[in-house]
Amino acid sequence: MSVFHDEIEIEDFEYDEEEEMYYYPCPCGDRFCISKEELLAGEEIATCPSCSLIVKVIYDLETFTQEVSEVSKLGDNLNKLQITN
Amino acid sequence: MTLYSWGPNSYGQLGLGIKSEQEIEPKEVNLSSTDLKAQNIVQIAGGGGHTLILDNNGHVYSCGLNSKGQLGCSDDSLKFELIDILKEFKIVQIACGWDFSAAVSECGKLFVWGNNAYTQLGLSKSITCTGIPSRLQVSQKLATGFQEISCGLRHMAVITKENGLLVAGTGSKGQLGLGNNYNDNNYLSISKVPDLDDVKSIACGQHHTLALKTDGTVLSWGENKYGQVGLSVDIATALVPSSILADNMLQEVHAGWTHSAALTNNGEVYMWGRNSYGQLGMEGDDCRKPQKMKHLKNVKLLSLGSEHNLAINAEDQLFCWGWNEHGNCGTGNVKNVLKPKQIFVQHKVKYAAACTGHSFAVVE
Repeated sequence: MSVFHDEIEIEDFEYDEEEEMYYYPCPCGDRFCISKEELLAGEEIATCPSCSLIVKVIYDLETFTQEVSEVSKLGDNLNKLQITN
Repeated sequence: MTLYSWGPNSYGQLGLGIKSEQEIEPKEVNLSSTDLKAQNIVQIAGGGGHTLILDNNGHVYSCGLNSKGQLGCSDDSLKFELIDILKEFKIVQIACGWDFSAAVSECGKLFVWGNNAYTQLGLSKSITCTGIPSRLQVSQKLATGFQEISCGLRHMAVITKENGLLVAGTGSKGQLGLGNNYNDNNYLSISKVPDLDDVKSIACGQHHTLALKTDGTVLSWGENKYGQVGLSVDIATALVPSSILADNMLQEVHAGWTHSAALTNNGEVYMWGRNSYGQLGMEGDDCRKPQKMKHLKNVKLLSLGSEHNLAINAEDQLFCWGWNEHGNCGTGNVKNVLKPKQIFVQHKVKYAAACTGHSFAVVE
């Protein structure tokens, strides 16, 4: 038996923008979770708050960091636009 | 007769009136606040945090988590409550995905509710979720009505009156069986699986799908990481249906998240797929080849949860096996059950259902 319950690609996680958390269903009924902050720090283990199962998140740190900074730039620009209007 | 429930209960999905981490011993479900009676229960289905019960009046009751409207009622509920809006239809079958639900009526109407973020309800992409059971209508060319539905994590498959198969939801791992050119963004929200007829039983796993044809052939497709599709694990995903088992005694197919099963009309059970927690009820590693269970005979009811299973034999004895971290198997402890083990030893069990992680039984 492997240590990881499964290996899940980041695209398969659901992202909660408000909480800045990534979620994926756990067979116990709860959800595996990992924060954007943890992913940016290179963490790759998502845990389930209800059980011992863990999954490995498959993602490329460089691409992920780039995407996050692009999204935040986009957000900044949008804010600026709203201010000028 | 009494309804019992056990396993994870973080969202109140056990219908006990409380939320708790888990119930490792079966607990009696108090139904006195509803018209629902344990002896009238015909089917129970459950998603990640919710449960539906169907009774022989054709009424559907729900409880647990309602984050996406999967209960078909206005609020979360820790006790079973009637889904009012379905009351005027005689429902004959129900199914639950992770956070969505479906029901088929006697006259072949299909109702869906809950999360539609992956268009798993077959509704338009503009609807992210709905708490109101909605009738799914399709062109007469696709189906004149519906017979049986099964829901996976983020997809569903439904047998039409013509014994064809319609699928909806994400196809990112081939679970819709629509082939190479499939892309979630290009497709309609509901499609027919091409060249598939005479379907009599259907089962959706986490990311895979099984269909049994009237001639006893099992076709499967989708994610095959653990051999759950029945193909060599070199094939990570199967994008189109392929035939993996043929036995003219076959009656039903079933799917856990990453394991699969087929039941014959003389009570024999084939199992294949992942075996890391004892899901297959036999010794050994993951197994892509369907194998008959040696320790379990005369099975008349089989139910697969995410990683655990329940079966009732001809003597009304209930057996469980598989993952047991939350007491999913109802053995009163949390040790994985590697071989079918009888529970409710002193009692006749009339019905049982393994939902996602949680379980129910109607006990005499």
